[in-house]
Amino acid sequence: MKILIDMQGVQTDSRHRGIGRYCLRTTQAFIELARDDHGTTLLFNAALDGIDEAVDALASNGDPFAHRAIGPIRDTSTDNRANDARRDAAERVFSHALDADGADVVWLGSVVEGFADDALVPHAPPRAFTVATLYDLIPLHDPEYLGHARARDWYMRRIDVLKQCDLLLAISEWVRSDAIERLGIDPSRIVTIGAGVEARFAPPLNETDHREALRATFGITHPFVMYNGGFDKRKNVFGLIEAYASLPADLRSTHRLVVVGRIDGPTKERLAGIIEATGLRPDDVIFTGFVSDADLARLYQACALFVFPSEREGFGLPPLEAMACGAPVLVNDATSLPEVVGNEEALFDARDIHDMARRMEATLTDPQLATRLRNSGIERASHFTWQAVAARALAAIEAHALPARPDVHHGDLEPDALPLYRIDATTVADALPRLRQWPGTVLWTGPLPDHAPPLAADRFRVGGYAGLIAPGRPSDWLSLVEADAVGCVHIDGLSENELRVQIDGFRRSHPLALQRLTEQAIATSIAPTLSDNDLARVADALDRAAPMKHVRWLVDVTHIATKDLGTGVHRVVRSILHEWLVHPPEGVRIEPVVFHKGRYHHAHDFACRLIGAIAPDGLPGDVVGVTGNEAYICLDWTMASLPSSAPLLRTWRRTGVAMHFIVYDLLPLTMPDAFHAQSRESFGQWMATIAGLADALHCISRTTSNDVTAWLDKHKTSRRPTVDSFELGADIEAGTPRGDLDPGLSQAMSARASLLMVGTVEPRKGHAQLLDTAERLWESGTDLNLVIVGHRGWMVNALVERLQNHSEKGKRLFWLDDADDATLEAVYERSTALVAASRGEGYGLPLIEAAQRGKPVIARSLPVFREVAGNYPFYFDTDSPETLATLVAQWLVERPPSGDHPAWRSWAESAVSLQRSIANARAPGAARRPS
Amino acid sequence: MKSILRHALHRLLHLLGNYPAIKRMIVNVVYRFPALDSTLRTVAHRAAHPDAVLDVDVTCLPEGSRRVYERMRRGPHS
Repeated sequence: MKILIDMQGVQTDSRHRGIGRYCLRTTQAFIELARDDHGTTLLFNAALDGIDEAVDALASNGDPFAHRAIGPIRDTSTDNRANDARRDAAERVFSHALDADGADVVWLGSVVEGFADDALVPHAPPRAFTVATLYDLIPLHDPEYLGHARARDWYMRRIDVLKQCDLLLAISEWVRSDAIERLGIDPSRIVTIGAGVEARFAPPLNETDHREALRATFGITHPFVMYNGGFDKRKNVFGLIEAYASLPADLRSTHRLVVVGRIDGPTKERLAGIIEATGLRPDDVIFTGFVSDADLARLYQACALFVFPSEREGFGLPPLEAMACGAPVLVNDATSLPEVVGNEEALFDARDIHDMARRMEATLTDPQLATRLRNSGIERASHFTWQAVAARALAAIEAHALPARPDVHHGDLEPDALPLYRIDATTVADALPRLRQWPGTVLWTGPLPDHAPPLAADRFRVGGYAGLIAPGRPSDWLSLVEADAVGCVHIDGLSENELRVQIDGFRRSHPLALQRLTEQAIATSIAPTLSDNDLARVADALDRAAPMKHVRWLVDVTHIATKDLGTGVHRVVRSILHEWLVHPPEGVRIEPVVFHKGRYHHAHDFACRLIGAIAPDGLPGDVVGVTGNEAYICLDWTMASLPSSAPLLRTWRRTGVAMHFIVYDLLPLTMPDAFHAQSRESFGQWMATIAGLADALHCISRTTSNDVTAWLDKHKTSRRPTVDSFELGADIEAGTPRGDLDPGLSQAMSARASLLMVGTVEPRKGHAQLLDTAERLWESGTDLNLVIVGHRGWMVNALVERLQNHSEKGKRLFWLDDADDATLEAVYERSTALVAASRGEGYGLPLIEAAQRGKPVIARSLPVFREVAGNYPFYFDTDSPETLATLVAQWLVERPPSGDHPAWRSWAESAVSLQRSIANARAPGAARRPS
Repeated sequence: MKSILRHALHRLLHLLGNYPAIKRMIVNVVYRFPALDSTLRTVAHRAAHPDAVLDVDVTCLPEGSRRVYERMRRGPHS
């Protein structure tokens, strides 16, 4: 089954309370349990926080799940009347999102959200078998909760949603009974699944002593009675303080009351009033505020007694957690709490403060009673696991689930309102624009046209950029029609009845029909009251509510599309992207994108230029929208743009877009002296940003991969992307002409041996050492040329001055700082050997280029050179110009043969290698979509 | 950054790109003051790449969303 879980319960303020914890842990256990038999997709609301934290927490188990997010449509909370129209539209979009992906089961994780935040409930019952978790009906018990008319309407709307569900999953027997009694739910439609306790809540290990930690963190210096939970009136914290105050003075003097939980200012003031009124000193009661789970476990383990006086609970996670940690636990004998503790000795009547105080006193003064409570609590808690909760939920779903309801639609209009298009070979071209704007069912008659679609934009729609340079097929017409139609029926030979059945089927279940019905309902009743921007956001959310049919890889080319710098990085971008555009991975659309004016846009002109096509008018799309069926691939070097684009990329990641970054090297961090301070700082920030964003980092060599892994080990980021490496291509670009050399250089290279250096002139490249070496060789009478090809880089003022004023300049020393590919080709051909003196590289493309041209290589002994070039080069390992001069002189005399080298890849193979890395990367929270 | 300032800075940087010697001279001076270098580069990058816009608006919609918007604004199919 395809199971879609609404995750808003882990996004609103509930994520700080029991509902959020329940929703997250149940989902985590459910994903693990269902992974082999069912596909689980999580649906988040992009208008709410908490997606990153939830996805990272759920991904920590390593079990696959897909996730996506709707919207954002902001400002939809019920507490403000001005939000009503937006909320109405948003709820219809939410309904569509639940229906559009063809789920078999929809599980609403928590419907009691959205009064003061932007959480949504479906406008109409989902088409799929619908399940909801029922936490409690406490507001129906206490009219005070529903005193305000809007609050009452909000809550009763949630009750209606619950009543319309096919199956309710109650978190306790008490909740189940209450729902049957108060809502009249058929007992067969509500199942108790209970709750669980996390493994981190466990008894302390032997000899564990938290006293120092608790004193340092919370100022707790005495044994203490503990409470953890909320501060609603029903939680009865006031009663607990009164009961504590009525303990005998000697007991109070040796025990503090520690109150744990997020507390607002006014509530704390009210509690301070009670503390004063009951004669307690302010420091008798310690308020910790919100605490981490680790601290919470310590507090549970260390407390002398845990008291939970709540008047009503749907379950009561805090006492269960306290029991699991080995605390003696006392709870109010009401609602679900007795079934949680399962021990009559642990109960008191919270309506009677003295009864509560008596039980507290007894437990604090009777070690045997405390021990009995500890032991029974630990034993009882062991029965409550999230795995058991998930198993009960899955069993109930599997036992009850029914096929989707075909006749449910969300619009107030009948599906018959959708247009019908009668199309044949002669009319299809003219019909397409109108079909695109007003989708309807196509009735096709006669044969297909005998030619392919002639418009480049149409060929692009069918086959992406590859479609622009490949001849189309007549069947592409059908692909174009089906992309924008509410089904296409070939009517020749069909009876009237058969035709009607097919049309009805499409109109009732085709995703585009469902979307059109939602559009029509909004257009009729809501759109007139929405501003243009509000309606734009609703339209955008609706259009992106379902995953796009085909997978797209959005390749960031922000910098190269603006200016191709001719760097090694840009050569990689050009080469791999060219391969992908012309030969896209199967089932994948390659879409180069640029970040411009705060948004990502399609880079049509750049992409067409790269593949040698003329960018036609009317290519679809400008601004990029994502649905969760995409991967973002940062192939380009984005240090300048990422600080601005990262917030948008984070929203893409929350929508389910897998994030891949290519890492070329970590040199500014591993060789800080070779870079400006600003470059080091910017690079460090870039690395930290991609580590926080990426699902996978793909490095251009194993050496870089090792550097990245070491960096991630050192910088403990909250999440950790996978790291792998792929091989770059090294085929000589076909058709590169050989240029003419300057006559002086040509004559010099004919006259004597020439050592060639290729690469930007920058400190780490070792130019200064090789110039020193050449000077020593010239002094010793060795006749050779030193030819440097590379742009001027940074921090090389002194070196540049040396080169420009050198006595051998133009005689035996040459620097070509603006050579084009043709000139480089000519220099390679005439040179004796390439010298790779660099002290740090991410790869080593010049070594391969030289080897492919049959030129020997003299290289510094770097791991990355050995990885890339194997035994081919003659290696040196010295920083001394004298030693290097001796080695080079010896090499020039002996000319040892080059050794073996690894098999080098073509760019086509490199593109496939990276493509495999991307496809195989198990992106946390972005697993393959369930089929 | 205000768009007029961003535009002016963007043009200045573009102009400097045509005079590498002047640009190199400026860089050679500025990089000696890392804090100033960092600030100027951040400003330059922001000029070229303004902050991300996280919500769509009616003037800037993906193609599919634009069609949905137009259908809903124009009302039922006519």
